[in-house]
Amino acid sequence: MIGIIHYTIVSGLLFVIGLTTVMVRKNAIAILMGVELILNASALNFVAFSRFGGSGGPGEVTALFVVVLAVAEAAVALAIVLNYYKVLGSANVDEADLMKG
Amino acid sequence: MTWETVIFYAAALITVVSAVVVAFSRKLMSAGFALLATFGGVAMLYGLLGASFLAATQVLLYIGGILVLLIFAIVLTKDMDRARISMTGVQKILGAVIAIVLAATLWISFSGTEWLVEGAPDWPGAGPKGIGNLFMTDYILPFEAISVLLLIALLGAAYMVRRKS
Repeated sequence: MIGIIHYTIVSGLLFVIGLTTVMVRKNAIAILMGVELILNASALNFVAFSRFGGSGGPGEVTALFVVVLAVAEAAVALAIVLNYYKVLGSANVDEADLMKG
Repeated sequence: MTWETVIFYAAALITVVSAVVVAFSRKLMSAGFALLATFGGVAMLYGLLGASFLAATQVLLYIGGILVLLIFAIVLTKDMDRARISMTGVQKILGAVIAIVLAATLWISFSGTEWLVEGAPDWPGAGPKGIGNLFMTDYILPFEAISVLLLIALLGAAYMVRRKS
């Protein structure tokens, strides 16, 4: 029997893996992938809780908002990454220290 | 074992295993393609939860949009295949420690919680009609706000990557 706990565990694992990606990766694009994993985990939680809590609607709507936010974030973040790749010749986050005082 | 259980475990396995590949694969391109499986697994979970519209959106926007954008970015940045993409040494160990502590905390709190809702619901999901109604009634303000946000993001991204004259 699949209960809410199963979905929560999958979502928790996805969140932890996404956070690990953000912390362990050096490349900005790989870090963005980690952020996408985290957003997916949260959206999955919204849908699961809403569904098991009584109605599917609000959770699905919130998850759609999360998807749209992820799209906007990916577009802007990739524009920034491509820009500083043009300036620095590398997409590694620890080399992006142009604004260091 | 019902079919639902089998599909759930298959989708969960696909999601988690490919997410691990995203986190630890040596090549950036492999991580990008593993992300395809992760998004697909999450879409399967959405379908299992009855959110079929959301599953379709996940495939369209995440796989067709964000993933293509990410892969474009990977191929536009030169010699990504050879570049070192992971942190080294101490940072990696610290990251692993934090991840394990967080996972343990989540596990303890999940297993210690007495969930008030048990068992799978058997009504259908909201469906496109229900979601459209919610967008136009209860969620009209966030809906408009997010449309403005999308416009800003579009303008911002176009402004940042424009050719400087």
